[in-house]
Amino acid sequence: MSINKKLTDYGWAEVDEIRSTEALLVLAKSIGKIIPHPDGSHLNVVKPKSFAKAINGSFSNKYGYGEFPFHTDTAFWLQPARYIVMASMLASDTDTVIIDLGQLVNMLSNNIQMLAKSAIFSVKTTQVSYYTRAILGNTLSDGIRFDSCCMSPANESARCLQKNIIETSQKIEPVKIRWSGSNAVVIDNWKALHGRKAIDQEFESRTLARIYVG
Amino acid sequence: MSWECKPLWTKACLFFEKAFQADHDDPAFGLWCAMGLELLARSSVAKFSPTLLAEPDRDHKHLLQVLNLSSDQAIGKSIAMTQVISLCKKLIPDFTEEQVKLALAVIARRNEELHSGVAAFVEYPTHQWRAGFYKCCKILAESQEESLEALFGSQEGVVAEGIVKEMEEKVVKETLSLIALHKNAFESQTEKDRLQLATEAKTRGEILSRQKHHRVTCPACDCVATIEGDPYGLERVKPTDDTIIVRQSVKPTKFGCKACGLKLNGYGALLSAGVAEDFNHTMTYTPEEYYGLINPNDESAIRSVAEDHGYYFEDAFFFSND
Repeated sequence: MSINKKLTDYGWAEVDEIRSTEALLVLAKSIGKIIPHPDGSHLNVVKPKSFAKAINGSFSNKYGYGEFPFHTDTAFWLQPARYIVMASMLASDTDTVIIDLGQLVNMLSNNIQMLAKSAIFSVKTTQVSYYTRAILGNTLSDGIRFDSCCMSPANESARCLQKNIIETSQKIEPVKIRWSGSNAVVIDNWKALHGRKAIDQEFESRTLARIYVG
Repeated sequence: MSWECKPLWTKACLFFEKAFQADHDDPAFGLWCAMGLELLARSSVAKFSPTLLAEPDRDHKHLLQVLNLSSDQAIGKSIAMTQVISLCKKLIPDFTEEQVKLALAVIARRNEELHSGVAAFVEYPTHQWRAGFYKCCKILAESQEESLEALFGSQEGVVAEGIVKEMEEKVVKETLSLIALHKNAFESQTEKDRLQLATEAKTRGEILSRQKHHRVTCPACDCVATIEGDPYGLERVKPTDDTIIVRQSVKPTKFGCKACGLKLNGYGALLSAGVAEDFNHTMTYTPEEYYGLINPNDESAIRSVAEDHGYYFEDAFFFSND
């Protein structure tokens, strides 16, 4: 099955034989246009951080080496990156976990899906603050922006939606991506939420290369 | 500072939600509606470009803030609401003088409510502005390819659409009744008088057509009448050998007939009367007029321009009126 077909059907795709950052960049370019980071680089390296060393308001600042809840990357952008391409050049015991939006939406009641249309969140980071909706499109199935770290409910619909998404996502058995040192994963950042298992900081040197694709 | 269209639109939705949580005759309803309108109008302008919202200044300080190109931590300054409303009129063809008046009235009450001890929305009860306000919001929402339902939520959106529709039907009814009234009055005159009035109306129409009016047939008496309105959109400039012709589309908002005395105001009324014809203003300029050129031999014109730019001639200080 092609990567695009997997992305359409499941919201993510695992790719083998990715052993270098060059190969990861080639993969990212085959998905779409790379969105450079603010420093101009196409690829950034993500390492676990303690509470103290993390940027204020980030997941590491809130959870440290603990488990990261399901979220959308770049949820604080006016339009979050469509795809995330990630790989670990070294094997790691800390899985990346993914849940498909379709599965999540199917488990939400019609009432909650309707409520999602009027749910408004405030986004706040060290650099921006503005109001936004969680849905990226006309309905929740079209896409979601969700990050309990930088997004706070601004109305009752949003409070209800956030509570339901958190509760429902905990009931779903996520897909676990085990980092072998030669695999990569492409996530449709609008159609899937991802998270991270807790890190055993004593033994773990988890380092992910990450590229955003528009 | 977020002056992008979507965050402004979303915040407007949030403010309207707060408005609808209050009773509609509660002054809080008026205040939240007024603040929602401000954000909605700004998001409509931002849809064209968020840079239009930046207060102009010599160093482009505020413009750089909008473009996220400023290292200055100060909050960017945006243009005043009166200017936002004026931009809406220029940019959105359906946003006519009628909507400008309503929006400015609501914004004036908002200012009074927030800047004085006056109970501004107690003195300006909801029924006086609600229908026109919803129409105004509908036009601004639709200019962003959105709807009243998306703006107000499904329940209030449907109610608001209904009120706007009823208001439009009321305008149709009133317009048709006004036409019938003037038709009867005109037909009750003698044939000689009618002919005389028709001739005068034709002459007047001819004159007015050169003064930014457009000739139409009066729906009441069939004589020559005129419409006038608000220009909108791009100016289309066509240079010829010795003139510059500038054309701009006009949305008609006023109708007047000299023969039977029928007068109509507002695009809705003109539409109901079948006289809401789109037309253009055509202005012809000399190159000197259009570009503001000065004849180098015209000393007084040069002095006047120099003085406008802060230069004072020495002899100005020796002026005496004794």
